[in-house]
Amino acid sequence: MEALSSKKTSSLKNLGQLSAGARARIYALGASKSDIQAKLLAMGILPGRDIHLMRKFPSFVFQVGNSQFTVDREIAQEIFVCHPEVI
Amino acid sequence: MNSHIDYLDEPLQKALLQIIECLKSSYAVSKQTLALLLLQEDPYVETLVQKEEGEAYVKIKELVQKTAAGYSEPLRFVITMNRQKAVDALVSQSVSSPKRSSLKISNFLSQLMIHPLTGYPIVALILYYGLYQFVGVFGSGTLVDFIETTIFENHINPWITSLVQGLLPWKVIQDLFVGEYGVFTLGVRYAMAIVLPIVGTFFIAFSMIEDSGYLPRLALLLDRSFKKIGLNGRAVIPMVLGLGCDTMATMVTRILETKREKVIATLLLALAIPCSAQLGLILALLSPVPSALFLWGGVVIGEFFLIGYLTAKLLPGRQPQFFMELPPLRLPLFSNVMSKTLSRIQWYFMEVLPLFVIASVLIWAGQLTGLFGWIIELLKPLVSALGLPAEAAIIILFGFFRRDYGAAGLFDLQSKNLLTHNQLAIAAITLTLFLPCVAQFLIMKKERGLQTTLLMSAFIFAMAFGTGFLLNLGFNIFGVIL
Repeated sequence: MEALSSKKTSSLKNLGQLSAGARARIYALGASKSDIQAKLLAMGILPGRDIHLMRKFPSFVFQVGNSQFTVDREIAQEIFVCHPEVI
Repeated sequence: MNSHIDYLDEPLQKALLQIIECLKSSYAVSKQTLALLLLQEDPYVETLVQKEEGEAYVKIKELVQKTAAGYSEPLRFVITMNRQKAVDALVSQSVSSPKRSSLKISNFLSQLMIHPLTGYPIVALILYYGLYQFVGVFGSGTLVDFIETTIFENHINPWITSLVQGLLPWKVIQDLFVGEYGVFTLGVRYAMAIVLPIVGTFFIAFSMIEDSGYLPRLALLLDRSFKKIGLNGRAVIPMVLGLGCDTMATMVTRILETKREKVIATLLLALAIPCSAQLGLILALLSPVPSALFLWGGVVIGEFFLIGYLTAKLLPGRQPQFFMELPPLRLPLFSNVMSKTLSRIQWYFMEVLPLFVIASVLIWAGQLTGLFGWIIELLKPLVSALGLPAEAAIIILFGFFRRDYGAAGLFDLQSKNLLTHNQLAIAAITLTLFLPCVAQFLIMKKERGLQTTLLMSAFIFAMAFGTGFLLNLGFNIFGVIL
């Protein structure tokens, strides 16, 4: 679980940098905005889970597990992802 | 005391038990739940426990901080990850999921709804059929005609009138119940024959849209535009509901996250969102004059965005954030739609019927004492500044009680051919922007406080008459005839 540290997010891609249709694995949640992290945790958007980015415009739409969510860019940029095989 | 939360790490388990020991007061939820929330620094629970435990809270806070120091992540994060690990283990033991065979049609429809190219035409279709055809044409046209003309004018009114005239020999008292502004002939008739069919059809349409899962999709489509007026996409829920009843919608602004958003949404609902009763009557009134209808729509929508934009600029506070779960699209269940609609109509009636009756009594008393005539004299200069005939003063007075009441009065005036098209447009725009009805004023006071509500009301009053005045001025200067 050490690898999930949210302090090492600078070298990672966030959801805003992926293109629509991409599949990835959530690596960390941004820690600088604790209110956003709390929302993501409450929705079950957690490190280690697979994410499928379906749309980026007009808002971000993605699927985690069996649920779909829609968020704005500010929140999407706090979801850091990696290639599905990294963790 | 044994902890049942055995999925937590050793240090968290220990801290949890220690915090439970510190909680001496009695609470509505279990101490274990409270302790878990305290570890996650839930602001609501922190305030509650601080109030209940006093001094001991300092010790709890120290315990939480000491525990947090042992982790590199916030405890909220650690606890959620601990829990998820336990859940995943349970799920993998007990659940097997077949190859995904999600409904193709619902997925396809969902894609169309959230794609900008197809999404906006779908909004337009839903507004046209759900709102204009079903509520406007069917509700405020067909149903109102039937209930008002066939049921009330031909059957109930003559029966009640002769009953009252037989029972009460005094003309003044007869007028209270069955006169021009009588409790039955005006108050109950407006509520049952004009407002009920319109609001009822709206609530049916809204419940179907709500149950289908369409609203979150509309929210994501509109989030960018709503951000410009200081709101987030989620605010479409109170805004769409406001097209039914602004009073109910003002209560629903509770779903918005920050006070700033709640204030902006409350102001916009009161100023620029016409309720269904008003909307139905105004659409019926203006649809024979398309130029007036477009002017009305343009001015009201324009002020919605302009005032929203300016308020967002002026009010301090952070930009709103948008996040929502997208539920799968579903066909609404008939029984659910009906039970929701019925409970909403029931609520609406408990709010509205007494107000309509009180309004009738006030008008009756006002006429009897001459107060009514005095207020109308007072309003006449204001009304003539808008280029409206003196009779319109009565409508403005009605509008103080309820905006739909005022719109219904406008309807009467128009059917007597007392208004030019220019005057009709000005009256409809002023009345739409005008002060909220009494019920909405009371809800605004309850949700936002008296001071904010009085400020908003004064602003709305100035906006409504200012807009009417400027339009009239513009018409005269440029010689516009609609």
